Amino acid sequence: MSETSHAHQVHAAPTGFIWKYVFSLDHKIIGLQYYFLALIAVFLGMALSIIFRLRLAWPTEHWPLLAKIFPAGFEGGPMLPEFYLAMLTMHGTIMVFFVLTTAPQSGFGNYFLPIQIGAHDMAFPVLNMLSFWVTFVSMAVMVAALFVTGGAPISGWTAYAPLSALGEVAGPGLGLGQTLWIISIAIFCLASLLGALNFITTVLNMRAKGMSLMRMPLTVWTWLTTAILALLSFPVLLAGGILLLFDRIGGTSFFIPAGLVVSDKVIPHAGGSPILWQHLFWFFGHPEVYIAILPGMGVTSQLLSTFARKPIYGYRAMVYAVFAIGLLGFFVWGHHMFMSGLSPMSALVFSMLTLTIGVPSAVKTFNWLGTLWGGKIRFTTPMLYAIGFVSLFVSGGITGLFLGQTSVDIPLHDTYFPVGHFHLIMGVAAIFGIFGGTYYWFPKMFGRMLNEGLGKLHFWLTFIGVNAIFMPMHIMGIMGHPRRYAQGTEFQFLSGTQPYHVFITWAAIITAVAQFIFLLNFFWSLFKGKKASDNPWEATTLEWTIPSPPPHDNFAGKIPVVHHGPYEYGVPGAPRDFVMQTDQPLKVGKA
Amino acid sequence: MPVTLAPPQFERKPKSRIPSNGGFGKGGPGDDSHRWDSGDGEHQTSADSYRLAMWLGLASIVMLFAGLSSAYVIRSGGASDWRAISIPGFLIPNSLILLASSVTLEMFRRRLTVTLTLGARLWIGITTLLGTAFLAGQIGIWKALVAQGVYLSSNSHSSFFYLLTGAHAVHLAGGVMALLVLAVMAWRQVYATRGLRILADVTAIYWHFMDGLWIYLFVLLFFWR
Repeated sequence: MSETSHAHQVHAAPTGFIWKYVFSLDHKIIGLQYYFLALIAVFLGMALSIIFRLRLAWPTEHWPLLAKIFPAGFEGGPMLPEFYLAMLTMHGTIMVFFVLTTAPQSGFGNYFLPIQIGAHDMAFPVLNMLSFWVTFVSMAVMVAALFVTGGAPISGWTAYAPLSALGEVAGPGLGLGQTLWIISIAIFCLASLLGALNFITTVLNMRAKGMSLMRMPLTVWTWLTTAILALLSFPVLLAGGILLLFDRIGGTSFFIPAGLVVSDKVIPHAGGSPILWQHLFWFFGHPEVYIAILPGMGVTSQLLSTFARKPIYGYRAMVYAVFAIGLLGFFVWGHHMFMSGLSPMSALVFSMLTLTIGVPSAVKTFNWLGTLWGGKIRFTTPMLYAIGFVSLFVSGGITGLFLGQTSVDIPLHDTYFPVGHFHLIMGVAAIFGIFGGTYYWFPKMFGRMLNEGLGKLHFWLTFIGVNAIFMPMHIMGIMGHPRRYAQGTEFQFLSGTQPYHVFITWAAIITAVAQFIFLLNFFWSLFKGKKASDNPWEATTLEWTIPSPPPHDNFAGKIPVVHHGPYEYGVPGAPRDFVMQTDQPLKVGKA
Repeated sequence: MPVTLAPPQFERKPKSRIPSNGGFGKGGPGDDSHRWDSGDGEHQTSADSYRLAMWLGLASIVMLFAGLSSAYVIRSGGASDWRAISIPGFLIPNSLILLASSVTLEMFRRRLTVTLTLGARLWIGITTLLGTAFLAGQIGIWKALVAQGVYLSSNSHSSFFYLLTGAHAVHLAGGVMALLVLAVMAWRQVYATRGLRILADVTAIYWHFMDGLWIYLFVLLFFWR
């Protein structure tokens, strides 16, 4: 009853199933909705990747079971190259938008941002509910593209014009499938905008007493920065999407050049610029990389500090580094277009700005290591994932310095080298952030602990697995293997790479199977896991001051007052080795 | 008798658009002299939050039109097929209708005191009508162009004309809906409630912005190049 007695404007705890779990206004339920949407999406995306990996490893093999589900993709026996491309496109799209953008930001952000700043909910609960359901519609439209006539689009997650603008004449899946793809992405843009302005307003206007900006956990800083990036970059993708859709169904020529001949047909368009699409796409696309990775950085900072029992090394530097990465992210899109005919001068500028991002990235990495240095480290599963994140961030980030230089990028462009690079740093590192957050916050979200033994098994299999998948891709890239080719066996110069393909596919299958350990652990612990206390990790931020799981309005009417920074571990003179943010101020001068 | 101009009775806090509760970057141990925006125990979403969210929404709209504008500039610069259409006859009067609506909206806000007067009700009604008239005018202009044989796909300038005016009209239609809600509230309520004032506030920000955006698009479409 406490939530009704103290504040007339808090939306009361709903009672019916529909209002409690479906169209809920509670940020915690909405966070879980996003999380489970991403969970479904990640397993779907993983299944798609296994399908196209089969084709790469064994190009001539028959797959009767798959042929039954997708008969059009297997006409004549082996997997058709077009079907391979469709799987590749959908894998990339689903992973980038519905996993990497959805889980760390909208999922964890929705659940924990209001709690960590001491708010009872987001600033605009109805907008919050809408943004989830708009995302849901977007995903439904995207998945539908898999099952329409012609199948899913084959243009990759970047949907480069003019092929994506031409319609069916350019290939199967580029008819209705591509149209659905664009509509889905446009809807996704709207959902992201609704979410982003809610996040920013909440952080700026809803903090509890004493929660100054420089007392916010680094997770909140990364969610705020990510929301700003989303707010400013998604509209540009929306602009590109609208133009592309007009080219497809309105007969306009924004991206389609004159005199184009595709499949022996003259295309009756004139004057458009395919490069324009690349500019608009990558102006969104590069900030998008940071939208995916920044929340993972926040989670990693939080976990390293908690489990090393030390304050985060250089809190302010971490905050500035996050902002610097976000800001610079808007000025480097050209490095995706070194081979698109960019003038050498602008390529040089883009290259220099790109390498500059290495500075704040290195600040973050060294501060993470500084946090670990001399710590009383507790090797829990979430901690393993946080350390894994740092490892992947370094090994994936180093190759970014290679690719950011035009002279090195020219031979490596569109080979497997960038594929290995961006999977390590944007894909897998972000996924490790999600896993770390899951193992860390599961007790708070569901009131039960995840099994540590299964968690550690899952970590080691996944960590070794992803390195086994993506490290060899760098070597294949240097050997010159182009990405997106359905088959390497027909080229003399690629004959040496086939064993790598087989190895990577086996590694992918084993890693995929290992994810079912996570699933088992998740759902078993949901019902049978050990009961969690309010603060099982002995952490300091506000979510650990309230019951697990939290009550409907988070603080049950008692508005927290914050007296401490977010990471006060091992403070001299404190009664425990951690000082929670709501603890009374310490008597100064006792030590 | 001279009319006394009383300032509108908003609990607007001048110069504190973004409440600096906590102070940007301030705060250390024991520094608890922070203002919690809505006061302890009260959980109303503050008027400041609505205003901030509106400005953030406008930032994203700026980016949308910046994306479209950059496409326009690049497309018009490099192409040999660029044939600009002339300014449709009704476009200038229609623009004046939109500009007038901004003025009438401010007339409404000036008359927004505790009690909703007839004057306030009339001005918000007029604003809604002007907004609707502008939208109808835009549709009329498109129809006239189609009748002349200028289609979406005719040439790249006509493509951009339909696209940019269409995107603006879609955004403006949202504003007209907000005006409609405001007008209905103003005619039905006796007193200007908190909800009505906040809605009037954020709608005004949005509406004036749409006005400015229209002028920008007009210049871009007919005076660039």
